Amino acid sequence: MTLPPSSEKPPSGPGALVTMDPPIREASNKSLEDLFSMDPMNMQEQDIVAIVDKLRDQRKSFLLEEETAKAAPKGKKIAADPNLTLDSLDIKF
Amino acid sequence: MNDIVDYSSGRLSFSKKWPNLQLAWDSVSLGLLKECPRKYQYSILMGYFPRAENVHLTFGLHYHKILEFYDHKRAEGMGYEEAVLATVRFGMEVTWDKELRRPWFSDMKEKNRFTLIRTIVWYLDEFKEDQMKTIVLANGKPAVELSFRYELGWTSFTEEPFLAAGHMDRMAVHQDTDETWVLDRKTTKHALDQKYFAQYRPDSQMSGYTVGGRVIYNVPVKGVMIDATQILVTLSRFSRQPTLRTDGEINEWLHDFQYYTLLAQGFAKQDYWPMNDKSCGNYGGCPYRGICSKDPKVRLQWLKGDMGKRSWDPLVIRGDI
Repeated sequence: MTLPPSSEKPPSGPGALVTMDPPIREASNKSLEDLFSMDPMNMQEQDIVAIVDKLRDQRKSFLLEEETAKAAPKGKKIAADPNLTLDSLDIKF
Repeated sequence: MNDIVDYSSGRLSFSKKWPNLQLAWDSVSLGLLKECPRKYQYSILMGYFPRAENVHLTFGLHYHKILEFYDHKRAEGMGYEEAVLATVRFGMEVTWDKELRRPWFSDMKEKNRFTLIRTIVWYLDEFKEDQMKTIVLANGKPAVELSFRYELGWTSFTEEPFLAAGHMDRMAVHQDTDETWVLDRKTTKHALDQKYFAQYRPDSQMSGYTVGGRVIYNVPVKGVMIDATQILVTLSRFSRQPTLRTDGEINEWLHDFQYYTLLAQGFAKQDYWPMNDKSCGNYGGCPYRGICSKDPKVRLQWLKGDMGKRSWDPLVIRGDI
């Protein structure tokens, strides 16, 4: 899995170190359930990357859902029709 | 005085001259004394606590410890992504039981190992561009998990000074306003609305932090910023709200504090901590209710049988949290 480069600004100004682009991160393809069952001592860097990536994906989905819910038009309350009678319901027995 | 059992021996927060007289108070011990002197006696003084793990407490300790780790890494100059990965690895390690070779287990669906790590990652991303910049102390260390203590200005009948003590999560300066704040991290399953934040004013812990920040670090602390996280099964939400104190409120808090230490002296002198049976049903029920519902003659046996032991000392510096 390749992630976009970090949006962090590199140090600048006098004396700043010359930095290179962050290395491409490799994430393991284990499921979150498998990753959370592992002994952390046996975890490789790509396992940690996978946890972070998968949790970030969940956050993106959550934020999108929140946005969608906020943007959704609120249903207008319809005033009751004072002329409505039982016959208007067209119920057949 | 000879037949008083001294439960306090060796603890820094207690009088060297009178058994069971607490001199250094934190918000936990003061809160318990206010809630029910008997509950204070059983928990703080005698050190009896429910054996069953308190998931909220364990979750909160892990949450604070993991974010403290992140704060240190950033203060050491580590970049954001690297610090996030290191913090998640640390979080996975501290929630792993090496002896039993299994993860920390919680039967609470909102607060468990998974929701903890998820909340950490979401929190760090939420505040990646944090406007609250952690103060760096003169020793070069970040101002996180700060233990504090200060003399309250009055003494006990043993002529020993009373102190306030506690631990702050973080002190930070707002990058736009230059105001200094104490940040206190809280986790809850409740909505982060005005009702939630209203619980912190009045609140003894936040008043103590405001005074502590001003007295100990000699900076004009604006107040406490409640750094709250709502944790549900599938999501974590974040919100920060300030809780402020006027000088009048602070003076009142100190005045009330003095009254409570007077009460505590009275209880210690009499070696008797009365029961407040109107608070037995609070917070889902007092864990000592089962003890208090027994005949007084057999309560100690029940305490020994039903409860675990843990020493609480507000003056012990919390280096491990």
